[in-house]
Amino acid sequence: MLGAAPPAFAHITSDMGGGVAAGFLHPLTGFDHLLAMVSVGIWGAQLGLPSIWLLPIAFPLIMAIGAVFGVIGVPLPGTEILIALSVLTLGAMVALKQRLPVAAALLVVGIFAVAHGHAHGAEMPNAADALSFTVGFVVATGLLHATGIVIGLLDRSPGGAVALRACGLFVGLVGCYFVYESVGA
Amino acid sequence: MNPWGLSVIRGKWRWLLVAAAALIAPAPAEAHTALKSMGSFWSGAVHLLTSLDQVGFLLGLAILAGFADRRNDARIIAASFAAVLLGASAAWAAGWQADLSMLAAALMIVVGLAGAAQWRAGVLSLTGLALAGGAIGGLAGGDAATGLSLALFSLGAALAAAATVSYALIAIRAVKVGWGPIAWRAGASWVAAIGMMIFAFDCSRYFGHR
Repeated sequence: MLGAAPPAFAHITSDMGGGVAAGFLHPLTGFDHLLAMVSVGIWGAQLGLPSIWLLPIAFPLIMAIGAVFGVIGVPLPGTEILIALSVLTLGAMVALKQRLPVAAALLVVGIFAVAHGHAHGAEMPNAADALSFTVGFVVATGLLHATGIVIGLLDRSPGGAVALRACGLFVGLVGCYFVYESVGA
Repeated sequence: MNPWGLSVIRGKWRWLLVAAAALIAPAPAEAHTALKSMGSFWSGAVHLLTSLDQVGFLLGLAILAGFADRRNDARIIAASFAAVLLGASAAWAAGWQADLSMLAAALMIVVGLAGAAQWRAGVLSLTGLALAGGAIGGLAGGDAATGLSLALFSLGAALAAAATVSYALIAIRAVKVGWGPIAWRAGASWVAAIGMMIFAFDCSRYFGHR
């Protein structure tokens, strides 16, 4: 079923299936998006209640605000650097197991959510079907958070906690590379 | 012997796998021309089910209703059914081809934000939302009934709407402990996020930013 490709019916108004697939793959094929989203889930799991559920619920809503700016053409200076910084910062938060207050954690995640949303939103007008593209990337983003939360539950075992921090270090180092690339570009 | 190999995956994990597969499987694109070959009833049903804004609204409505009193469920399902039926009939009778995606997106924002906040809505609010969303869905789809039997098309669309809300409510009521409510709230936030982006996209189209 995972690999099944149902035949596409002829369609005169839009390309719904293609739009959902394109939107779904947008966060998955961008390594910076993927690492940041999974890290949000892992960090939320490390922080425990209420962050473990607050961050995944708040993130799509804040991301949507950034996407709105992208859609209506409001520029967000340094979007690429902010996205690269999000990978670095969230990786560092996981590696250091940084226990920020909920409001501060929400602020950190919120700033980066706006940048990620802006990047997605700027792509929307280029999509064949904006609605299906949006559905695809919101669902993919949410599933990446869920994946991060599931991985983050390893924090409950001593060995798992160490492994998570090592993963955070890896993500942070990749983030350093992204920052270097975006500043140098 | 299970040819799908799912027998080794037990309980809810089997359903999670099937749900994940359904999410990432490439969906066939279906709309007016292709649907008409299905006949009036199925054309109406599939038209509603392939309108992602309608499905998103109905799922958001079901999540919101799932946090409210169970005794409201029947009224909300009936309101969705009646509103889609009347909306599609009215659009067909008036020969109206309307693009109501901005209104549908606005309703997605309302039900999504309310569901994400786990607002315990009253029966009047829920019924009103069901009527408004159903009517918009019916009006938006009515033009697709051209050349088909209006009664069967409207009935198909209305039953699809009622079934979507019903099955979603069954799922929500069944998973009300542990991570369930958190997952439903996250789902509602997805509905709101999609609604916000589509609303902005439609605004930018109408007001000439794009």
